[in-house]
Amino acid sequence: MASLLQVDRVQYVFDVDTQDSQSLSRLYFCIYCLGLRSSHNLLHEDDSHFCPQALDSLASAEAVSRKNKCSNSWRCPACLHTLSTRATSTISPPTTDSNKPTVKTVYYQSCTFCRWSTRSVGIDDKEVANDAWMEKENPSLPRINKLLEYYKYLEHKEKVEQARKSPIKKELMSVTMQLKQKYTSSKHSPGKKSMFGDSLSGALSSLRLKDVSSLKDVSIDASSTLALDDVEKLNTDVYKPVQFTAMTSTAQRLDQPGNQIIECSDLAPRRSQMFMKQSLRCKICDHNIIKPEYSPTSIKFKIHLIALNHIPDIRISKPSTLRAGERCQFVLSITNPTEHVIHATFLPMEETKHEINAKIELPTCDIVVGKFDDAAEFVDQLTSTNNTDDASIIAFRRGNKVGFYVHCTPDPALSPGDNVWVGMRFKHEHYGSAPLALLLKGGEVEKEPEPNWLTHSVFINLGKIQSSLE
Amino acid sequence: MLSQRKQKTNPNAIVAADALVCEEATLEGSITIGANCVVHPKAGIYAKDGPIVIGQGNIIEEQTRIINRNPPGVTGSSPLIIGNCNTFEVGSEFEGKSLGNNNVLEAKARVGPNTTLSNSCVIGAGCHVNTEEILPENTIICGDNYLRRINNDKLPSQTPQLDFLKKILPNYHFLVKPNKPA
Repeated sequence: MASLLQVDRVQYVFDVDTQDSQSLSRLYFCIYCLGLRSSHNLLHEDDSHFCPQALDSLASAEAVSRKNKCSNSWRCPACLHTLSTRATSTISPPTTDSNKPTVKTVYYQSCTFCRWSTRSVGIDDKEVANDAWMEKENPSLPRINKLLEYYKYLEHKEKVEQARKSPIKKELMSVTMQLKQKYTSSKHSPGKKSMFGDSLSGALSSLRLKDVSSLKDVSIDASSTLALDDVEKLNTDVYKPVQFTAMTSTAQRLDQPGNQIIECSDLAPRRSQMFMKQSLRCKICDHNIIKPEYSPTSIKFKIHLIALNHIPDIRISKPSTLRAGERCQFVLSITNPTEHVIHATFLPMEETKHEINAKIELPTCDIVVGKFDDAAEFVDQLTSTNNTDDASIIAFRRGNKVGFYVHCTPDPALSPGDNVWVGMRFKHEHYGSAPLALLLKGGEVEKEPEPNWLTHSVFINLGKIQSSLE
Repeated sequence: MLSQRKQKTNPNAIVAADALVCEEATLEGSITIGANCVVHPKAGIYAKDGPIVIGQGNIIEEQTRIINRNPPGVTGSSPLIIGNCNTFEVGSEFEGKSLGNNNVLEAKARVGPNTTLSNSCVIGAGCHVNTEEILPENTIICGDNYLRRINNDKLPSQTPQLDFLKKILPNYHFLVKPNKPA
């Protein structure tokens, strides 16, 4: 638990130039260029859009055209929870055909959390369970559409004028035409994905259009303005006490920014928002670091190179009281996530931009860390103590985790409450990446993997200075 | 096992013939339970500073606590009257002055001694209400922010659930014998 809560105590430098650091649990590891990566220096790509409720997925372009909203699942306008469709039977009065009253099944939507229902705002029950529901239309939709049309017209016009100013040479034109034929032809054969068909064909069609006069002229009305005297007088109703159970909250209004509903009786269900699956790519070597499975029902990853699976994790195992200028002893632990025994060597920190306000005395010899073994927790731990360990360095040894002593002297100038930061570097061998990388590329695995030596810079927040009275 | 069963009957508890009160429920003090009520095992009804009168068709689920207790500094004995067709979900607590009909206290909801509920009110899961007021009819309080709303729709009926419980509970639990003359 402590590791979950204190992940930011130990920070790994992921960018050597800027000395930016982050907790290991938030970092990725590129097994191709053997470096730590943070989400800031990776390329983010949209894989697919999906609805977490209805579990249907859409391609990015289609999601944009549907305004990123799911067609099957709806959200409660009162508490923003998912709505569920309820079926109920009603008796309709006898019709001319038959004298008996008929029993009909009707559907309405209700929220299981706040008990809001479409019936409470007077929306009629539907006879079909799906697709019969409509979202409340944005009152300014016509204006938005008009503006969109106008800006498209402006864009078109600008392009045409630009094309006229710099006439494209015939040869170049033919090349672009070739390109267009090559990459947009797949548009006509379904099942094949066009690479950049839409944007290219759009650009090309605008280039071919040489005449401004052939464009349909679009004009928009300026938004209306009023003189101060013409502004409607304030309604005296506003001075009445507010019935706040009948008014919507800010969160409810901002949930539907198009039509900011003021009274609860006007609330209407809205379609739920789609989520996105994202893959991450290394900017240096262009390999995928994170690649989720496409299916919205799966939470697994095809490629999942997080740093915790590859880099030894250093944590504070046993804290100690820190006093300015006093030497104290800590236990740090190092955990090896890989399936190879590693030797960790600790080195002093070099010049750094990061604030460091304590001296640290590190173990001078190598620390051997056992390999990660799935079955280790079922094996008796007593036999695993290694007699060759120096008891003044090694505090404990448990499977792939080793605790070791370090000594630290905070600067005498520190005052109680100040955070104590120490810095160090550590070097360890790294196996496994080459065969794994080969496997991912589809090659054969070599017999004896050659280790690479990796060096990481780590900053550790040991805690706060205690007052000397305690 | 039957012989080891603790016989603890509360002579002050009056249970209507039609009510279903599990023996593992705690009934303390002067309590009247109306017809068609269901009191689950481990529910607690404590009439400490005055009697509790429970109407018809109420569902009192597990670990519910209904308490009639005077606030500090107040003496005397005033009854706590609970209306008909209320639902006390699991772990809810009611210490209020009175309760109307068709109210729902969702799981872990708590109503303190200052609040009175009228009819068809819903106190959402985990909401603790103890304001000096009478909640208007159809009030719904729910969520982290205690968002209030007046519900224009009537709440779904609890009758199917009551019928189900009356069928299923006697199969697994010992019941308190009704002692109210029919």
